[in-house]
Amino acid sequence: MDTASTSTVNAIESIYREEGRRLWWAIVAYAGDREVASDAVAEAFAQALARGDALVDPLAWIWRVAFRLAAGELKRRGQTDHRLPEVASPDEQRATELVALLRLLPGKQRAAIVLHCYADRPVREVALALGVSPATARVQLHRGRRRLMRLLEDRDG
Amino acid sequence: MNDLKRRLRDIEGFAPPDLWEEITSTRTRPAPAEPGPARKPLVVAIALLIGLAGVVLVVRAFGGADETPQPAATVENGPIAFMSEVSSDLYVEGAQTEIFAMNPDGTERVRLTHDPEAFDEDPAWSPDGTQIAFVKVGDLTAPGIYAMNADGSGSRQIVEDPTGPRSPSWSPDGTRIVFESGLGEEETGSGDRDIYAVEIATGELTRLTTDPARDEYPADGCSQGRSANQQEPTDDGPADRQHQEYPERRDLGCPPCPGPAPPLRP
Repeated sequence: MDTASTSTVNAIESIYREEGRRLWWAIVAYAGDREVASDAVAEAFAQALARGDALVDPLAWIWRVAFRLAAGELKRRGQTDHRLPEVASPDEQRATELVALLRLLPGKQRAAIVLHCYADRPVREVALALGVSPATARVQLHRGRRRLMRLLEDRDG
Repeated sequence: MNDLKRRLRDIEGFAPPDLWEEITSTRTRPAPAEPGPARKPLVVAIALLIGLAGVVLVVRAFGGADETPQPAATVENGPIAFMSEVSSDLYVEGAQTEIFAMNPDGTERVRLTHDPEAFDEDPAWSPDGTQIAFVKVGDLTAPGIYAMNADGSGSRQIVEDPTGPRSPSWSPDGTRIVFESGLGEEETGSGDRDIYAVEIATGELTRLTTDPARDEYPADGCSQGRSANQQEPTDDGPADRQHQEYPERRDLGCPPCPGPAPPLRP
């Protein structure tokens, strides 16, 4: 925190206020775990603050780093220790059902779908977050979208 | 808002916490491994030096050591081939990327590929300007390295490759195409990428690198690999949301480069 100027803190806080919720939702959709999402979002923003003015595009950087942190945590947990949210309302019920469907997608397809189709991040950023080429990211999007639509159709009868 | 996006917004049924206090009090761990902005100029400089050395070596390997590459400004400009998304998003059925070409001044934009089931990307001009190699990826069309005539006719598969190949580049004599691929992944289990060459006449495939590191962006001594014309793709496309990515100029110091292709006819 010592390296961050007041203007940097204000800029990062502004990004957090505008994008933090959507980033958190996106990572919950990807990771299926609210704790993982909270840790990844907090860490990514803290890292951005620590880097001060060095980030050319803090928003894109935060999205990418948050997803990488979440992916690393899922890998550390062995992909099996998902913690299903406790359902307390109809809205949470729908969110929980969506998480359950998204878990049926391979990780990279799921991340690509969430980043591009939900969060509107461009394909180039999706590719950077996944560590793949833009062409591969497009294929993951194409496959993920078709698979998810099929799952949604099956669920809805 | 389309149906998939609307459905994905169900995730907003969870109430997000306010993390700002935690963020400002967090003692950060080391940043995730990736080149930081302060180190990027050095990384880019090293990559450029390695790339330049590779270009020189390959030119010599192809017997072009006596040819002095012409500065771009002294070579008559030919058409620019590029890929573009033909829809604003990928969750609309039929959305895909296609290959386009245009004159150097941006006029006469012509669509060269029309495959609704695939993503056509990474165009690369042949040295004589009569052919364009490109990558085709997707689920319903055989993926791989393809080539077509400069007007988009005669599209044909040169080699099948389901691993998401990229960066095709022609040899100066136009007889083979080098490209990056994960074809060796199944053999080694390493998951890395290597450089391959395919003989256009026979389809014979040769693996040129086998090291466990990722080998990418081959340059054939002609097209200068990723040239200065390659712009960073942005989201700020024109009104039709067609993004221009990875343009390939065929006329940047090409030894030997027989001459410019004829102007495009829309």
